[in-house]
Amino acid sequence: MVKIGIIAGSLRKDSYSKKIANKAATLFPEGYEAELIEIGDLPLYNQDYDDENRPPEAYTRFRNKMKEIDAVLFVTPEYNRSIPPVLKNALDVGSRPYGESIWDGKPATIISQSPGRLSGFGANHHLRQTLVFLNMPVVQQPEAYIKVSDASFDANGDVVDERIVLSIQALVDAFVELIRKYK
Amino acid sequence: MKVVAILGSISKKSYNRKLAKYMKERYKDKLDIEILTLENIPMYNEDIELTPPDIIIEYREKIKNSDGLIFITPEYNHSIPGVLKNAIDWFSRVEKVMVNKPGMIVGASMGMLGTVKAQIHLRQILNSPGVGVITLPGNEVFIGNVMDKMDEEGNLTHKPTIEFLDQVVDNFIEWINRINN
Repeated sequence: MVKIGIIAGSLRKDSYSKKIANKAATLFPEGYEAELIEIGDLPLYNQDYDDENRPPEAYTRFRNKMKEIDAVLFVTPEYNRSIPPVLKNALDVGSRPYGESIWDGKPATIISQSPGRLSGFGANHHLRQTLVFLNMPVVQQPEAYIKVSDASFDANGDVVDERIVLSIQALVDAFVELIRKYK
Repeated sequence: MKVVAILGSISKKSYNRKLAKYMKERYKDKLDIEILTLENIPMYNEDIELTPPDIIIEYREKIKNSDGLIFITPEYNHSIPGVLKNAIDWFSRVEKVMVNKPGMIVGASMGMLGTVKAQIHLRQILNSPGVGVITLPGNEVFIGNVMDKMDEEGNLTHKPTIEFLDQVVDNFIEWINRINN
């Protein structure tokens, strides 16, 4: 069983990223198990915690969970031409203590989304650069920049726009291909 | 001339924290630098942005009343720390207090490149519409191998770095005058 961790980069209750993440979780084939990973409770990263061997419980929970994960799908909005702080903080927490990064070598892929036509390109590109340093092979094509609105989803938060579902599916298929190459 | 220095690390032993204190002391005859630390700012969430905590209200006032901003950043994973992004995002919403403020960036790291990748990301972020800082061009302060350039008290000891930083700060003061007048 290949375990996929899906990380949605927003805390907002009605977050579009979470809705897309939930949809993506349903689109993986047999042999893949996808789950959303909680990152909202991680205290702001402070190296003192690790240096003094007293990491917050949430760091330990998150790091242990991520150790079980084989590959990561990031769904991100764009805040000020980059990724939101909740997502960057999770990346920072997972990358430490030095030499114990839980990201290392895991295949990854990115969906960025926004209501605008640029659809989160700034966040998408900044995230890619961080994933270079974290040594995560990332799906190159297709790129997923998804334009969303309230109308893309129904009252239950399900994605009702077929074009969006097809985009996510295409990305998931390419992601599965990449994971196979690394397994 | 009052400026606010936004310190992008919350660790006690941070070299960038030492750098902030060094700058505050060294330039006190030219600039009144107030260092803002970020550990008590809760994680940004759009659901709470209309009821911000007191620290956001307090910092907004300080930023509004300042003549300019100094961003002091480490590099975490080829970008700025989440804690710094968090503060910037808070100040880019509801009341966009950084728009049209003159700004400059410095950063220190133990690696050779001295936070260059974080600073490039930071320039892009500061340039975005909701943030709108008018960042001093050029004047790139990348303090690499910082452990070899600072003494135990956190004073810079490397003469070329000190001279360059002195020049950048003078350029920043000129930049502030140009923009605010």
